[in-house]
Amino acid sequence: MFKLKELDPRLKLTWCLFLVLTALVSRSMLLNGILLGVILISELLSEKSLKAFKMLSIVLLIIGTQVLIINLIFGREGELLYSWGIFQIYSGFITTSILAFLRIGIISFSAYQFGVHTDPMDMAQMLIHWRIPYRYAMLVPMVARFFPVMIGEYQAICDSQSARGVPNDTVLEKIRNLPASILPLMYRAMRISSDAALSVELRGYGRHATRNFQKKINLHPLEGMTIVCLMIGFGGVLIKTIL
Amino acid sequence: MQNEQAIGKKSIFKTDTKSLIGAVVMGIVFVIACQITGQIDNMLPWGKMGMLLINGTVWAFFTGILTLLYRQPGGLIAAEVEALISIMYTPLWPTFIFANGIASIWVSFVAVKCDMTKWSHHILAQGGVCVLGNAIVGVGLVFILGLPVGVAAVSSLITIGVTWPLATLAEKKVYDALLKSGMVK
Repeated sequence: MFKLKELDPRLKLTWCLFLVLTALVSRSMLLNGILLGVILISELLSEKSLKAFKMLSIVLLIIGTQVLIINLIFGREGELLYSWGIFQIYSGFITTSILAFLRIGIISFSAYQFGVHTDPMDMAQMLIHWRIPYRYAMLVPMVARFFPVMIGEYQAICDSQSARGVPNDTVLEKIRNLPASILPLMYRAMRISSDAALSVELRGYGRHATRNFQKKINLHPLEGMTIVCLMIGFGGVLIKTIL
Repeated sequence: MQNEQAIGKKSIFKTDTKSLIGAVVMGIVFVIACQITGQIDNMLPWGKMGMLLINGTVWAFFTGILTLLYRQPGGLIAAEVEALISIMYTPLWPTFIFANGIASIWVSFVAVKCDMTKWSHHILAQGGVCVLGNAIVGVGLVFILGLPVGVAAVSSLITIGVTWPLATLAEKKVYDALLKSGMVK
């Protein structure tokens, strides 16, 4: 059984780009359905569950419903099914909505799968392999490092505002309180970034042209061949769509 | 900072460590701000129709102010951090990669030509951010979400019309305050 986490990040990125670009180029519902199925099966084989996609699925269902309603009201493809004053329903709205739903599913799940199953350090090494100076490549692990920190800071600001009795229930109150929560967060972000910059510079960040990693990424020949196959596969889809 | 390479007043580039890490951390703040405003928009009638007006204003404001604060590549890094983390909550992320990048480069271009002290400079900077950004997102609405072209065009035009003045106002006020505090030289 394979583990997505153990694959080379370049293969995972190529797979993600193949899925995204194929979904954007192709208008075949069958192909998009197969690709979505492959993503879900690969996730099931690797992780034995689809728990990682739970939250994203809810978001996509909401967006999909919005797309369906907009296409129902404004879609003008296909034959006229129903008319009542200016309100007209055309038959094409179902096909367009299903295709859009499959497409957003592929685009979101593939990118999410790449993000969740790729170690930030592997991403940094991948960028270093592409001749990007490590001062810039290491910013990827820094995003992963500081994201929970900043979420915690935001939560602390919200808690302190609540303790002061700032009302934050209605939409209007939320809008009114926006500067009161974002501006302190910006201030804290500036303080944290200044401390972090000084700290990493004192440890010699950027002093040398290269740096070592505990675990190195290596592209297996089989993975290399898979990358080539994916590129050829996308070329085939592109040619078929154009012709 | 030993590696400080900020070159002159009119330079686009600022590659010291403080700017790079600052851009990353502020990029995360950018994501959080977009998340909160996205949720607020979704509670409002226009959000239910897919037009994120408050979110669009905050997006344009952050893209502008972070580029003015950290220049390049900091502005681009902050913008791309937002675009890449948006994978977690929107299928429009491929368009955000291009929209955020182009908008940030546009602000740098304006900041090099103008000293950003007048209203007209901020109107120009935000005009480019809102028009270019929303045009690219409009393309995404058609090709990714499959919305009719007319709906996407109207949605983008309304978003541009609302976000441009609001983001300009916010950017000018905050940039003047940053100038006064000495954070921007």
